[in-house]
Amino acid sequence: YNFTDCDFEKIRKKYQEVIYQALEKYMNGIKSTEFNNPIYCEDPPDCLTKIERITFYPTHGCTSLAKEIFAVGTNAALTLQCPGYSGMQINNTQAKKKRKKREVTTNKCRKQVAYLIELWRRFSRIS
Amino acid sequence: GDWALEGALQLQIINFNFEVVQVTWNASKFSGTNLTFLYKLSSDKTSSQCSNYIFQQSHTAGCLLEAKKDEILCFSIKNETHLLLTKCQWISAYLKPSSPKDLNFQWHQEAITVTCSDLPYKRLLYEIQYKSMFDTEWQSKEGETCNVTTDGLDAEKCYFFRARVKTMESSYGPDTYPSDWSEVTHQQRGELRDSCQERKLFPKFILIS
Repeated sequence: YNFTDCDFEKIRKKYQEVIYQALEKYMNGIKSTEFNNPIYCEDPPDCLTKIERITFYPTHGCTSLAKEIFAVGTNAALTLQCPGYSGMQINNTQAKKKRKKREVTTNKCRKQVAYLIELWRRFSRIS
Repeated sequence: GDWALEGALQLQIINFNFEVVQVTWNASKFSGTNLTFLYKLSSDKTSSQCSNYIFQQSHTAGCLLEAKKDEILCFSIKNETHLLLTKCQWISAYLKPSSPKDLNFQWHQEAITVTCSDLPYKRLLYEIQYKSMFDTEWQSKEGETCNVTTDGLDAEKCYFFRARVKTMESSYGPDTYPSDWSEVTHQQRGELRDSCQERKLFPKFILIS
């Protein structure tokens, strides 16, 4: 999907109002700058492409981000503000409202979320 | 790991208004050797060694880099034999904006609008502080542009004003620096004053003859 036609301003607002706190909460006090090698993104569409890939596509050692609250917020923002974007099918019961019995947050997942934090920050600086 | 060495080196990074990035370290724990700084900005094709070292007691203690835009800086610090540290971060994470200049004041009844020119990048907070000569504490008001209105003032009183720029944490992270404060400006009855001196009601010395 090409994110060029999205309403970046509205996505940025959704990020600042919802997604940002959820990402920070996930990191539980660990700074994203504690992880080296942030991912570069050039412009808003490029940033959203990389955010979508990291958020919704499992990687080795971190398979569960799509169920997190920040992922639900991301999915909602992209679905609402990007014409023709069909969004990811996240089963509402899977989405973690309260982190009761939580899978152990692997360091690999924290690294992925650190990438997301830097990408969202970059997106909000340039949109 | 790198975190321990980063602590040992007392590494500090400051991005001065996206113009110059200053990276400094404390090499005293490395028997005063001359550490070497190699770096690459995301827009650079190759890495290069620092061309503008900062020296302390005749040993390298930092590097000044020209910054062109919001990008990722990767660098490594070595002594003669070992690579001590490698690090890659957005230089925006260590931004220190320049302080506001040419503050402009517009009074309307008991309110004042303070304006100045916005910096050329986004997601900043412009903070205006003010107090009258009878106040001990500054009062603060913020805006996302340098156009901040404060009301409930008494135009007869003389007020001190100053301004600075901060970054939004959701866009720059928690490691940035607020700008320095602007010069203090004095205002009374809608006019600029050199200072806010109390008017002496009685002269100090009365000659009784």
